[in-house]
Amino acid sequence: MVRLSGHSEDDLVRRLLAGDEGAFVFVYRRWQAPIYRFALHMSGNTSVAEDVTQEVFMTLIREGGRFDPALGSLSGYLFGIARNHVRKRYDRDRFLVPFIENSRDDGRSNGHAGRNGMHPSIVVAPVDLGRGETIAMVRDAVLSLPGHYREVVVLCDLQEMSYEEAALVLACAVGTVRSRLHRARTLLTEKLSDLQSPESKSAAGGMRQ
Amino acid sequence: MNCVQFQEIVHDLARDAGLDQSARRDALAHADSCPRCDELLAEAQSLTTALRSLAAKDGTLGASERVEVALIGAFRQQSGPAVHSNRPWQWGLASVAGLAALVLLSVLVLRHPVVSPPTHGNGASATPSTAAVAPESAAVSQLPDASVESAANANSNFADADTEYASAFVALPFNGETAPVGDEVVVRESLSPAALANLGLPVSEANAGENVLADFVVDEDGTPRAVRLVE
Repeated sequence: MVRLSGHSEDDLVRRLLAGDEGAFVFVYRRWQAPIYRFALHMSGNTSVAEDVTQEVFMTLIREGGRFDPALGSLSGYLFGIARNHVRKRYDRDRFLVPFIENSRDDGRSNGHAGRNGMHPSIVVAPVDLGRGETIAMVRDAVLSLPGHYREVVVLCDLQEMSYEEAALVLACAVGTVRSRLHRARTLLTEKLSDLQSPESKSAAGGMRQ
Repeated sequence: MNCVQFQEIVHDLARDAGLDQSARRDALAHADSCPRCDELLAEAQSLTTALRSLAAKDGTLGASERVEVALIGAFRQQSGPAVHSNRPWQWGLASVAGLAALVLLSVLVLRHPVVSPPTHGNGASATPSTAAVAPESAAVSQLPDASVESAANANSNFADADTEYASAFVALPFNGETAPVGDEVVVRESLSPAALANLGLPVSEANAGENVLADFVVDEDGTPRAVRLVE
Protein backbone atom coordinates (compact mmCIF):
# COMPACT_ATOMS: atom_id res chain seq x y z
CA MET A 1 0.00 0.00 0.00
CA VAL A 2 1.16 3.50 -0.72
CA ARG A 3 2.41 5.32 2.36
CA LEU A 4 -0.31 7.85 3.09
CA SER A 5 0.22 8.95 6.64
CA GLY A 6 1.90 12.17 5.52
CA HIS A 7 -0.94 13.25 3.26
CA SER A 8 -3.45 15.91 4.21
CA GLU A 9 -7.04 14.90 4.83
CA ASP A 10 -8.12 16.84 1.77
CA ASP A 11 -5.60 14.97 -0.34
CA LEU A 12 -6.73 11.63 1.07
CA VAL A 13 -10.35 12.36 0.22
CA ARG A 14 -9.39 13.51 -3.27
CA ARG A 15 -7.45 10.31 -3.79
CA LEU A 16 -10.20 8.03 -2.61
CA LEU A 17 -12.76 9.85 -4.72
CA ALA A 18 -10.46 9.33 -7.69
CA GLY A 19 -10.59 5.58 -7.03
CA ASP A 20 -7.42 5.14 -4.96
CA GLU A 21 -8.28 2.08 -2.90
CA GLY A 22 -5.19 2.51 -0.72
CA ALA A 23 -6.40 5.95 0.33
CA PHE A 24 -9.83 4.59 1.17
CA VAL A 25 -8.41 1.73 3.23
CA PHE A 26 -6.12 4.15 5.04
CA VAL A 27 -9.00 6.48 5.91
CA TYR A 28 -11.22 3.57 6.95
CA ARG A 29 -8.62 1.99 9.22
CA ARG A 30 -7.76 5.33 10.75
CA TRP A 31 -11.32 6.27 11.71
CA GLN A 32 -13.50 3.17 11.76
CA ALA A 33 -12.88 2.34 15.40
CA PRO A 34 -13.73 5.79 16.82
CA ILE A 35 -16.83 5.93 14.61
CA TYR A 36 -17.85 2.45 15.72
CA ARG A 37 -17.40 3.32 19.40
CA PHE A 38 -19.34 6.54 18.99
CA ALA A 39 -22.25 4.62 17.48
CA LEU A 40 -21.94 1.91 20.13
CA HIS A 41 -21.98 4.36 23.03
CA MET A 42 -24.89 6.21 21.47
CA SER A 43 -26.97 3.12 20.73
CA GLY A 44 -25.75 0.46 23.14
CA ASN A 45 -26.09 -2.03 20.33
CA THR A 46 -23.19 -3.63 18.45
CA SER A 47 -25.30 -4.38 15.35
CA VAL A 48 -26.39 -0.77 15.11
CA ALA A 49 -22.79 0.33 15.61
CA GLU A 50 -21.63 -1.88 12.73
CA ASP A 51 -24.43 -0.70 10.47
CA VAL A 52 -23.73 2.93 11.25
CA THR A 53 -20.00 2.47 10.65
CA GLN A 54 -20.71 0.90 7.29
CA GLU A 55 -23.17 3.65 6.36
CA VAL A 56 -20.70 6.37 7.31
CA PHE A 57 -18.05 5.08 4.96
CA MET A 58 -20.57 4.30 2.24
CA THR A 59 -21.57 7.94 2.45
CA LEU A 60 -17.92 8.91 2.19
CA ILE A 61 -17.58 6.79 -0.95
CA ARG A 62 -20.70 8.24 -2.53
CA GLU A 63 -20.65 11.81 -1.32
CA GLY A 64 -17.10 12.44 -0.15
CA GLY A 65 -16.95 15.40 -2.51
CA ARG A 66 -19.01 17.31 0.02
CA PHE A 67 -16.14 17.27 2.50
CA ASP A 68 -14.68 20.77 2.78
CA PRO A 69 -11.48 20.97 4.83
CA ALA A 70 -12.12 24.67 5.35
CA LEU A 71 -15.19 23.79 7.43
CA GLY A 72 -13.56 21.25 9.71
CA SER A 73 -11.57 18.07 10.00
CA LEU A 74 -12.32 14.80 8.25
CA SER A 75 -13.01 13.15 11.59
CA GLY A 76 -15.56 15.87 12.37
CA TYR A 77 -17.17 15.27 8.99
CA LEU A 78 -17.33 11.51 9.61
CA PHE A 79 -18.67 11.89 13.14
CA GLY A 80 -21.32 14.27 11.81
CA ILE A 81 -22.45 11.62 9.32
CA ALA A 82 -22.40 9.00 12.07
CA ARG A 83 -24.52 11.19 14.30
CA ASN A 84 -27.13 11.61 11.56
CA HIS A 85 -27.25 7.87 10.93
CA VAL A 86 -27.58 7.10 14.63
CA ARG A 87 -30.48 9.53 14.92
CA LYS A 88 -32.16 8.10 11.84
CA ARG A 89 -31.71 4.63 13.19
CA TYR A 90 -33.11 5.64 16.54
CA ASP A 91 -36.14 7.30 14.94
CA ARG A 92 -36.74 4.18 12.88
CA ASP A 93 -36.26 1.58 15.58
CA ARG A 94 -37.43 3.18 18.78
CA PHE A 95 -40.91 1.72 18.51
CA LEU A 96 -39.62 -1.71 17.61
CA VAL A 97 -36.77 -2.63 19.92
CA PRO A 98 -35.39 -1.46 23.22
CA PHE A 99 -32.59 1.01 22.66
CA ILE A 100 -30.45 -0.35 25.48
CA GLU A 101 -28.89 -3.68 24.66
CA ASN A 102 -27.15 -4.46 27.92
CA SER A 103 -29.99 -3.78 30.31
CA ARG A 104 -29.71 -5.80 33.44
CA ASP A 105 -32.71 -7.41 35.00
CA ASP A 106 -31.20 -8.57 38.25
CA GLY A 107 -34.14 -7.94 40.48
CA ARG A 108 -32.96 -4.57 41.65
CA SER A 109 -35.02 -2.68 39.12
CA ASN A 110 -38.52 -1.73 40.17
CA GLY A 111 -39.73 -1.63 36.58
CA HIS A 112 -40.25 2.11 36.56
CA ALA A 113 -38.11 4.97 35.53
CA GLY A 114 -35.80 6.01 38.29
CA ARG A 115 -35.17 9.51 39.43
CA ASN A 116 -34.49 12.00 36.68
CA GLY A 117 -36.33 9.69 34.31
CA MET A 118 -33.42 7.30 34.00
CA HIS A 119 -33.78 3.90 32.47
CA PRO A 120 -35.27 1.29 34.81
CA SER A 121 -32.14 -0.82 34.55
CA ILE A 122 -30.08 1.98 36.11
CA VAL A 123 -30.48 1.37 39.79
CA VAL A 124 -28.71 2.32 42.92
CA ALA A 125 -26.14 -0.21 44.03
CA PRO A 126 -26.62 -1.26 47.62
CA VAL A 127 -23.05 -2.36 48.09
CA ASP A 128 -19.60 -1.57 46.80
CA LEU A 129 -19.19 -2.67 43.22
CA GLY A 130 -16.28 -4.15 41.37
CA ARG A 131 -14.63 -2.14 38.61
CA GLY A 132 -16.25 -4.10 35.80
CA GLU A 133 -19.68 -3.70 37.30
CA THR A 134 -19.10 0.00 37.81
CA ILE A 135 -18.17 0.39 34.17
CA ALA A 136 -21.34 -1.42 33.18
CA MET A 137 -23.34 0.96 35.36
CA VAL A 138 -21.64 3.95 33.80
CA ARG A 139 -22.37 2.60 30.34
CA ASP A 140 -26.04 2.18 31.15
CA ALA A 141 -26.19 5.57 32.80
CA VAL A 142 -24.80 7.20 29.64
CA LEU A 143 -27.33 5.32 27.54
CA SER A 144 -30.13 6.50 29.77
CA LEU A 145 -29.40 10.16 29.06
CA PRO A 146 -31.54 12.08 26.59
CA GLY A 147 -29.93 12.01 23.15
CA HIS A 148 -28.67 15.59 23.06
CA TYR A 149 -26.97 15.12 26.43
CA ARG A 150 -25.69 11.68 25.59
CA GLU A 151 -23.93 12.82 22.44
CA VAL A 152 -21.93 15.54 24.20
CA VAL A 153 -20.81 13.07 26.87
CA VAL A 154 -19.83 10.54 24.22
CA LEU A 155 -17.96 13.09 22.13
CA CYS A 156 -16.27 15.09 24.88
CA ASP A 157 -15.70 12.51 27.60
CA LEU A 158 -15.51 9.19 25.78
CA GLN A 159 -14.02 10.40 22.49
CA GLU A 160 -12.05 13.13 24.26
CA MET A 161 -12.96 15.83 21.76
CA SER A 162 -12.53 19.49 22.59
CA TYR A 163 -15.60 21.68 22.86
CA GLU A 164 -14.74 23.18 19.49
CA GLU A 165 -14.50 19.81 17.77
CA ALA A 166 -17.76 18.62 19.31
CA ALA A 167 -19.46 21.85 18.27
CA LEU A 168 -18.47 21.19 14.65
CA VAL A 169 -19.84 17.65 14.78
CA LEU A 170 -23.08 18.77 16.40
CA ALA A 171 -23.38 21.91 14.28
CA CYS A 172 -23.98 24.10 17.30
CA ALA A 173 -22.16 26.77 19.28
CA VAL A 174 -19.29 25.95 21.62
CA GLY A 175 -21.28 27.46 24.48
CA THR A 176 -24.13 25.05 23.74
CA VAL A 177 -21.78 22.09 23.95
CA ARG A 178 -20.40 23.35 27.22
CA SER A 179 -23.78 23.93 28.83
CA ARG A 180 -25.16 20.60 27.59
CA LEU A 181 -22.13 18.78 28.89
CA HIS A 182 -22.47 20.48 32.25
CA ARG A 183 -26.11 19.43 32.48
CA ALA A 184 -25.40 15.91 31.24
CA ARG A 185 -22.63 15.37 33.75
CA THR A 186 -24.81 16.68 36.55
CA LEU A 187 -27.44 14.10 35.59
CA LEU A 188 -24.81 11.36 35.44
CA THR A 189 -23.40 12.35 38.79
CA GLU A 190 -26.84 12.10 40.34
CA LYS A 191 -27.37 8.69 38.77
CA LEU A 192 -24.03 7.33 39.85
CA SER A 193 -23.35 9.10 43.12
CA ASP A 194 -24.67 6.24 45.21
CA LEU A 195 -22.41 3.80 43.36
CA GLN A 196 -19.20 5.44 44.49
CA SER A 197 -17.30 3.76 47.22
CA PRO A 198 -15.61 5.84 49.95
CA GLU A 199 -12.24 4.83 48.53
CA SER A 200 -12.99 6.18 45.09
CA LYS A 201 -14.33 9.39 46.55
CA SER A 202 -11.20 9.95 48.57
CA ALA A 203 -9.06 9.00 45.58
CA ALA A 204 -10.91 11.52 43.46
CA GLY A 205 -10.37 14.13 46.10
CA GLY A 206 -6.66 13.54 45.88
CA MET A 207 -6.63 14.26 42.16
CA ARG A 208 -6.90 17.96 42.67
CA GLN A 209 -3.25 18.53 43.27
CA MET B 1 -15.24 32.96 43.47
CA ASN B 2 -18.54 32.06 45.11
CA CYS B 3 -20.44 28.75 45.15
CA VAL B 4 -22.66 29.58 42.16
CA GLN B 5 -19.66 30.45 40.03
CA PHE B 6 -17.88 27.31 41.20
CA GLN B 7 -20.82 25.09 40.29
CA GLU B 8 -20.79 26.52 36.79
CA ILE B 9 -17.24 25.40 36.14
CA VAL B 10 -16.94 22.34 38.37
CA HIS B 11 -17.11 19.91 35.45
CA ASP B 12 -14.53 21.87 33.47
CA LEU B 13 -12.33 21.67 36.52
CA ALA B 14 -12.91 17.95 36.91
CA ARG B 15 -12.19 17.34 33.24
CA ASP B 16 -9.22 19.68 33.28
CA ALA B 17 -10.52 21.34 30.14
CA GLY B 18 -11.77 24.77 29.17
CA LEU B 19 -10.22 26.67 32.09
CA ASP B 20 -7.13 28.82 32.12
CA GLN B 21 -4.63 28.53 34.94
CA SER B 22 -5.99 31.55 36.79
CA ALA B 23 -9.58 30.31 36.84
CA ARG B 24 -8.43 26.83 37.84
CA ARG B 25 -6.41 28.22 40.74
CA ASP B 26 -9.35 30.32 41.96
CA ALA B 27 -11.72 27.36 41.75
CA LEU B 28 -9.44 25.03 43.72
CA ALA B 29 -8.97 27.71 46.36
CA HIS B 30 -12.74 28.00 46.71
CA ALA B 31 -13.15 24.22 47.01
CA ASP B 32 -10.58 24.15 49.78
CA SER B 33 -12.59 26.69 51.73
CA CYS B 34 -16.09 25.27 51.01
CA PRO B 35 -16.91 21.65 52.04
CA ARG B 36 -20.03 21.55 49.86
CA CYS B 37 -18.17 22.61 46.71
CA ASP B 38 -15.31 20.31 47.64
CA GLU B 39 -17.79 17.43 47.67
CA LEU B 40 -19.19 18.51 44.31
CA LEU B 41 -15.71 18.52 42.85
CA ALA B 42 -15.02 15.05 44.25
CA GLU B 43 -18.21 13.73 42.62
CA ALA B 44 -17.36 15.33 39.30
CA GLN B 45 -13.85 13.90 39.42
CA SER B 46 -15.21 10.46 40.21
CA LEU B 47 -17.45 10.77 37.18
CA THR B 48 -14.48 11.73 35.03
CA THR B 49 -12.60 8.69 36.31
CA ALA B 50 -15.55 6.40 35.62
CA LEU B 51 -16.04 7.75 32.10
CA ARG B 52 -12.35 7.41 31.32
CA SER B 53 -12.47 3.83 32.57
CA LEU B 54 -15.35 3.13 30.20
CA ALA B 55 -13.48 4.78 27.32
CA ALA B 56 -10.36 2.77 28.12
CA LYS B 57 -12.28 -0.49 28.39
CA ASP B 58 -13.93 0.04 25.02
CA GLY B 59 -10.81 1.58 23.52
CA THR B 60 -9.95 -1.47 21.45
CA LEU B 61 -13.42 -2.01 20.01
CA GLY B 62 -14.04 -1.52 16.31
CA ALA B 63 -16.14 -2.76 13.45
CA SER B 64 -15.67 -6.36 12.39
CA GLU B 65 -13.59 -7.33 9.38
CA ARG B 66 -16.83 -8.11 7.56
CA VAL B 67 -17.57 -4.39 7.37
CA GLU B 68 -14.18 -3.60 5.84
CA VAL B 69 -14.58 -6.35 3.26
CA ALA B 70 -18.05 -5.11 2.34
CA LEU B 71 -16.87 -1.53 2.07
CA ILE B 72 -13.87 -2.35 -0.08
CA GLY B 73 -16.20 -4.30 -2.37
CA ALA B 74 -18.52 -1.32 -2.56
CA PHE B 75 -15.59 0.99 -3.17
CA ARG B 76 -14.39 -1.11 -6.09
CA GLN B 77 -17.88 -1.26 -7.51
CA GLN B 78 -18.25 2.49 -7.17
CA SER B 79 -14.85 3.17 -8.71
CA GLY B 80 -15.28 0.67 -11.54
CA PRO B 81 -17.76 2.53 -13.77
CA ALA B 82 -15.77 5.75 -13.42
CA VAL B 83 -12.85 4.12 -15.22
CA HIS B 84 -15.01 3.47 -18.27
CA SER B 85 -17.21 6.52 -18.04
CA ASN B 86 -15.45 8.06 -21.04
CA ARG B 87 -17.20 5.60 -23.36
CA PRO B 88 -20.87 5.76 -22.43
CA TRP B 89 -21.85 5.85 -26.08
CA GLN B 90 -20.77 2.24 -26.50
CA TRP B 91 -23.24 1.07 -23.92
CA GLY B 92 -25.99 3.10 -25.55
CA LEU B 93 -25.14 1.77 -28.97
CA ALA B 94 -25.06 -1.81 -27.74
CA SER B 95 -28.40 -1.36 -26.01
CA VAL B 96 -30.04 0.09 -29.10
CA ALA B 97 -28.63 -2.66 -31.31
CA GLY B 98 -29.76 -5.32 -28.88
CA LEU B 99 -33.23 -3.89 -28.67
CA ALA B 100 -33.52 -3.69 -32.43
CA ALA B 101 -32.36 -7.29 -32.81
CA LEU B 102 -34.80 -8.44 -30.20
CA VAL B 103 -37.73 -6.68 -31.85
CA LEU B 104 -36.89 -8.01 -35.31
CA LEU B 105 -36.37 -11.56 -34.15
CA SER B 106 -39.51 -11.46 -32.07
CA VAL B 107 -41.55 -10.39 -35.07
CA LEU B 108 -40.06 -13.15 -37.17
CA VAL B 109 -40.65 -15.86 -34.62
CA LEU B 110 -44.16 -14.74 -33.86
CA ARG B 111 -45.01 -14.81 -37.55
CA HIS B 112 -43.60 -18.30 -37.92
CA PRO B 113 -47.00 -20.04 -38.34
CA VAL B 114 -47.78 -17.85 -41.35
CA VAL B 115 -44.91 -19.34 -43.36
CA SER B 116 -46.20 -22.80 -44.10
CA PRO B 117 -43.57 -25.38 -44.91
CA PRO B 118 -43.90 -27.03 -48.33
CA THR B 119 -46.29 -29.94 -48.20
CA HIS B 120 -45.73 -32.79 -50.61
CA GLY B 121 -48.81 -34.76 -49.90
CA ASN B 122 -51.56 -32.40 -50.96
CA GLY B 123 -49.79 -30.87 -53.99
CA ALA B 124 -50.01 -27.39 -52.61
CA SER B 125 -47.27 -25.12 -53.81
CA ALA B 126 -44.72 -23.78 -51.40
CA THR B 127 -45.48 -20.17 -51.97
CA PRO B 128 -43.46 -17.95 -49.71
CA SER B 129 -45.49 -15.55 -47.76
CA THR B 130 -44.69 -11.95 -47.22
CA ALA B 131 -42.90 -12.97 -44.06
CA ALA B 132 -40.04 -14.40 -46.10
CA VAL B 133 -37.35 -11.76 -46.16
CA ALA B 134 -34.55 -11.31 -48.64
CA PRO B 135 -31.72 -13.52 -47.49
CA GLU B 136 -28.86 -11.12 -48.08
CA SER B 137 -28.10 -8.17 -45.93
CA ALA B 138 -25.45 -5.56 -45.40
CA ALA B 139 -23.81 -7.79 -42.86
CA VAL B 140 -23.45 -10.61 -45.32
CA SER B 141 -22.23 -8.30 -48.08
CA GLN B 142 -19.29 -7.40 -45.83
CA LEU B 143 -18.24 -10.99 -45.60
CA PRO B 144 -15.26 -12.08 -47.67
CA ASP B 145 -15.84 -14.64 -50.40
CA ALA B 146 -14.42 -17.41 -48.32
CA SER B 147 -16.91 -16.68 -45.64
CA VAL B 148 -19.74 -16.77 -48.08
CA GLU B 149 -18.51 -20.13 -49.32
CA SER B 150 -18.34 -21.26 -45.78
CA ALA B 151 -21.89 -20.18 -45.30
CA ALA B 152 -22.91 -21.96 -48.44
CA ASN B 153 -21.19 -25.14 -47.31
CA ALA B 154 -22.88 -24.82 -44.01
CA ASN B 155 -26.19 -24.44 -45.72
CA SER B 156 -25.57 -27.60 -47.72
CA ASN B 157 -25.66 -29.53 -44.49
CA PHE B 158 -29.36 -28.78 -44.40
CA ALA B 159 -30.09 -29.78 -48.01
CA ASP B 160 -33.14 -31.76 -47.03
CA ALA B 161 -35.21 -28.61 -47.10
CA ASP B 162 -36.72 -28.04 -50.54
CA THR B 163 -36.89 -24.28 -50.18
CA GLU B 164 -35.11 -22.04 -47.76
CA TYR B 165 -36.27 -18.70 -46.46
CA ALA B 166 -34.23 -16.52 -44.21
CA SER B 167 -34.63 -13.25 -42.44
CA ALA B 168 -32.14 -10.45 -42.82
CA PHE B 169 -29.11 -10.54 -40.59
CA VAL B 170 -29.50 -8.37 -37.56
CA ALA B 171 -26.58 -7.18 -35.50
CA LEU B 172 -26.09 -8.57 -32.03
CA PRO B 173 -25.05 -6.34 -29.13
CA PHE B 174 -21.29 -6.03 -29.16
CA ASN B 175 -19.24 -4.37 -26.44
CA GLY B 176 -15.78 -4.79 -27.87
CA GLU B 177 -13.63 -1.82 -28.67
CA THR B 178 -12.59 -2.79 -32.19
CA ALA B 179 -14.63 -2.74 -35.34
CA PRO B 180 -15.15 -5.95 -37.33
CA VAL B 181 -12.03 -6.75 -39.32
CA GLY B 182 -13.61 -8.84 -42.03
CA ASP B 183 -12.62 -12.33 -40.88
CA GLU B 184 -16.11 -13.42 -40.05
CA VAL B 185 -17.63 -16.76 -40.91
CA VAL B 186 -21.25 -17.83 -40.96
CA VAL B 187 -22.18 -20.75 -38.80
CA ARG B 188 -25.55 -22.42 -38.92
CA GLU B 189 -27.03 -23.73 -35.74
CA SER B 190 -30.19 -25.54 -34.91
CA LEU B 191 -31.68 -23.80 -31.91
CA SER B 192 -33.99 -25.57 -29.54
CA PRO B 193 -36.99 -23.71 -28.09
CA ALA B 194 -35.03 -23.50 -24.85
CA ALA B 195 -32.10 -21.86 -26.64
CA LEU B 196 -34.50 -19.41 -28.27
CA ALA B 197 -35.90 -18.58 -24.89
CA ASN B 198 -32.41 -18.13 -23.51
CA LEU B 199 -31.74 -15.55 -26.20
CA GLY B 200 -34.81 -13.70 -25.01
CA LEU B 201 -36.89 -14.69 -28.02
CA PRO B 202 -40.51 -15.65 -27.58
CA VAL B 203 -41.38 -19.27 -28.28
CA SER B 204 -44.78 -19.59 -29.90
CA GLU B 205 -46.99 -22.61 -29.63
CA ALA B 206 -46.25 -23.39 -33.26
CA ASN B 207 -42.52 -23.73 -32.75
CA ALA B 208 -42.53 -24.94 -29.18
CA GLY B 209 -41.82 -28.51 -30.17
CA GLU B 210 -39.28 -28.04 -32.94
CA ASN B 211 -35.84 -26.59 -33.43
CA VAL B 212 -35.28 -23.42 -35.43
CA LEU B 213 -32.36 -22.90 -37.78
CA ALA B 214 -30.28 -19.79 -37.38
CA ASP B 215 -27.18 -18.44 -39.14
CA PHE B 216 -24.66 -16.62 -36.97
CA VAL B 217 -21.97 -14.32 -38.32
CA VAL B 218 -19.07 -15.14 -36.03
CA ASP B 219 -15.80 -13.26 -35.52
CA GLU B 220 -12.50 -15.06 -35.69
CA ASP B 221 -12.44 -14.94 -31.92
CA GLY B 222 -15.84 -16.61 -31.75
CA THR B 223 -17.89 -13.53 -30.99
CA PRO B 224 -21.29 -13.68 -32.71
CA ARG B 225 -21.97 -10.39 -34.47
CA ALA B 226 -25.24 -10.98 -36.33
CA VAL B 227 -27.95 -13.57 -36.60
CA ARG B 228 -30.72 -14.52 -38.96
CA LEU B 229 -33.42 -17.13 -38.72
CA VAL B 230 -33.70 -19.66 -41.49
CA GLU B 231 -36.62 -21.73 -42.54
